[in-house]
Amino acid sequence: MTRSNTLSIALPALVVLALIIAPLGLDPFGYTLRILCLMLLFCAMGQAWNIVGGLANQISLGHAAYFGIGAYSSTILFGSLGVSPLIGVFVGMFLAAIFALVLSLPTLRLKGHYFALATLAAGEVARVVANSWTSLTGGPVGISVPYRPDAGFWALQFQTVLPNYYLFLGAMILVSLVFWLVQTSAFGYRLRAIKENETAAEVIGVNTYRVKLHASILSAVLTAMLGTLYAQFQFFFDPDTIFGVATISVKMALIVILGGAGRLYGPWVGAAVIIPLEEMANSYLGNSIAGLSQFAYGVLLIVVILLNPRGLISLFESLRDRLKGRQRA
Amino acid sequence: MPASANDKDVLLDIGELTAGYGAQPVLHGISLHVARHEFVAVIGANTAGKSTLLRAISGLLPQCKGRIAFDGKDLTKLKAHEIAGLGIAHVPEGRHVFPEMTVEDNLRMGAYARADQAATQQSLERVFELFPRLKERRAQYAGSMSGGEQQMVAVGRGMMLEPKLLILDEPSLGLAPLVVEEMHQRFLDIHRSGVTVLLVEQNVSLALHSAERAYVMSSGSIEIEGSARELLHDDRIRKAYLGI
Repeated sequence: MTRSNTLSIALPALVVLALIIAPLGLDPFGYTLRILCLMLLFCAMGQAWNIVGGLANQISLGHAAYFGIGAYSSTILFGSLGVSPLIGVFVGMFLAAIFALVLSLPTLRLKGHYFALATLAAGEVARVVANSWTSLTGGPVGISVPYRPDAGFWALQFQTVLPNYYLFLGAMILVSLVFWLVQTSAFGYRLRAIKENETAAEVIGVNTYRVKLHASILSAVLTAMLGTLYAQFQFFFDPDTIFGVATISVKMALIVILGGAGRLYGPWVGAAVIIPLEEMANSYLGNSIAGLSQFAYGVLLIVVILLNPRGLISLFESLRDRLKGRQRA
Repeated sequence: MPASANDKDVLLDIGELTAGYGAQPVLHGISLHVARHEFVAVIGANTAGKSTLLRAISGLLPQCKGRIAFDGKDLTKLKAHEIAGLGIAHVPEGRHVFPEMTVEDNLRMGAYARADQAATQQSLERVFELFPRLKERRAQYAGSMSGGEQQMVAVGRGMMLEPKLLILDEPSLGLAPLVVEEMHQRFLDIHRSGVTVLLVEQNVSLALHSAERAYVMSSGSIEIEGSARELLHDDRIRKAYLGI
């Protein structure tokens, strides 16, 4: 095994180990732990987006639709019928798959900006429907997950934040594993072929439509699963947050693009930078001028894209290559 | 002429083909055929519709009316990936390689639509024999190669399909004269190995020296058809395309 291979396995393993140990010293109800939870969740969401957005370069700005479908499905089933979120999560995943299938029929033949805009609109449609269908979703006032910590794991609710943290860590590892399996499989090569040259992929016999469809559905299903976890963590959400363009859809894309699109550790780096930064911007700037934190956020993104469109992870790699070169010399 | 299109060994048979990109057709009733093991060139000026014709054959155009039959099968209802599966390798204009894949991965992707994946390794060896340069550069990213080398990758990728018909769209565009010459030698090698070749080329002299038979296209129709040797000495062609 070469040195770079050892490094690319050892480093993530160390990161995971650090993530396992990290919360042990923290206040189990504390703010820092909640931030870490969100970081893991958004990392997982970015990774789900990465399957279709990163590998195939299908820039979806409507993934909030799947996220919200997951959150609403499990919450409504739990709230009105007492169905465990452990079952509800699968209903959400199923419905998200259906939504992805229906959405793909008209949108998958679109390219570039047209695809991005169409998916953006689809996410907005989901938000408008959730706002108007008051009898089902509770409408704009939002919906609460009934608090039943006594029911234990069956209700997927916990007395402290700590179990949530490990749940999110597990989810993040799971989605990353799925991404890795896709990336290294023949399916992953097909997605990359589409990203790099769709016409060439067509003429060598790749059924580009079907490949994109399968990737979209897989990505949607994983995103819906994370939506349920989010609902069980927050206990309350409304259509504007769960189907939010900036808060969910764009952030998912942003985390991946900032970290490194189509790369396994891209969302890891992206989430580790964006989530803490956003929290800091909110707490330091949030009270002074409304919207300033969003502005800072936007500036950061522009700077990164201008300096290094391949994402932060490529900075790390060029640093590593330079070190290796020096050793060899 | 239509009689020859009914011959048993006609591999590609196109009749009264009208096709285009929107409401306005680019091709106006094209009829053309390629016999098995033949090397046919389509020549003509820019905007004559040559690339559109090739795109229609390989299923990259949404609408076309008329007949396109390959080995007796109707292609007009099939999608691009299904047509590749029948054994038509289309090397598109402009060297559409996968830039961030290695040369070898590019080539292996070319075998994607094949039924017999087991023989992929043999095809790879054959492509490396055809283009030894690709063997030297097998681990290099295709996007970092020169134009000529990328064209080798694109042609090699087409050959990985072990196609019955190889379609080449302007393979010499933007390449150095020496590379163009070399490329056409390889096309002749490929043809000699038993592959049917349909070549679209702006370099009329080169096309007529490589091919056995040629069609001259102009404004979306076939103007002249004949053996390459005849056409080389045809006054109309000498005036219009060869500048003699």
